[in-house]
Amino acid sequence: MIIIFQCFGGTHTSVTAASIYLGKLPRSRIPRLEELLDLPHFDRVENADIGTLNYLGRDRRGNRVFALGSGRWSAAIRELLPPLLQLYGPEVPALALIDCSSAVTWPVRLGGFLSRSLHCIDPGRPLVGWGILRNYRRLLQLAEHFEADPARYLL
Amino acid sequence: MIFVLYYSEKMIAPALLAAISHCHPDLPPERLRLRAAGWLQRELAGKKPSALLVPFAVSPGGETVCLATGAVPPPLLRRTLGGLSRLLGKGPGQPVLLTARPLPPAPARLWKAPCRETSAFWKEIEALVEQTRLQAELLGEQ
Repeated sequence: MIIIFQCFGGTHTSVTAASIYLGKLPRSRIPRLEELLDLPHFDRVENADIGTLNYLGRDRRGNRVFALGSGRWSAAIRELLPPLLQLYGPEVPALALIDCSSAVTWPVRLGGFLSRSLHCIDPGRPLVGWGILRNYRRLLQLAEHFEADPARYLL
Repeated sequence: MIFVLYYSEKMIAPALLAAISHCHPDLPPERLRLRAAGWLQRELAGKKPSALLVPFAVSPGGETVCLATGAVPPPLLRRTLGGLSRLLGKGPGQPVLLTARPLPPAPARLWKAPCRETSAFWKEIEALVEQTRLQAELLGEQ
């Protein structure tokens, strides 16, 4: 199975949820800000690279996990993927898409804009990190929900 | 196997015309237009789907030509589909997806009498189809 965590920029909520899923962030507590900011893909995808699949690692079952930014077009991208998979036929691996956009809050949006669009990393990155930590349980829920019922996310 | 994908944003016509031109390189614009109108009538019956990705036909070069439309900006879609196709099409004998460069939007008078605007549009489509055909040829040799 190919697992894709999707959000606006592919670098904040999707990377956090995927890192929880991969065991790179804790589940029993809220991580420290530094733990989040130390993730190699956190707040590091440029706006020009939105749409690129970034490989984050393999899960316990050996499935490849990616983060994808789709801008405002998450739903529109989702519509085009099933017919693409049909083209390739039944032998391709299953594709799971987890949309993390619902966990994007105003601090995340503002911090992400400051850091990624204006390149004001110093106020932007800590702000987006703070916003993510405030909403960490929601992202944890998303990761755990996918883990418990991956079939719901298959395209 | 090579899939060639022509995608146009929010309107199917440019992708459809490019797909027809790829499969029938010798057709003049007027006949391309008639074929496109026939296909639209037959396959979509006047509907405007928000998103579509379908195989169209096999070209003389042996590629499966597909056409698509949706709301996603072409460069973003190209990056996503390119990345996905590299994951899905790994291994010998697996299909390769070649996404054509972004197509120009169709002029408002496309289905009416030819004018300078439509002939400029046709030139763009012809050039882009030729570029894509050459790329497909190169991919086929690899």
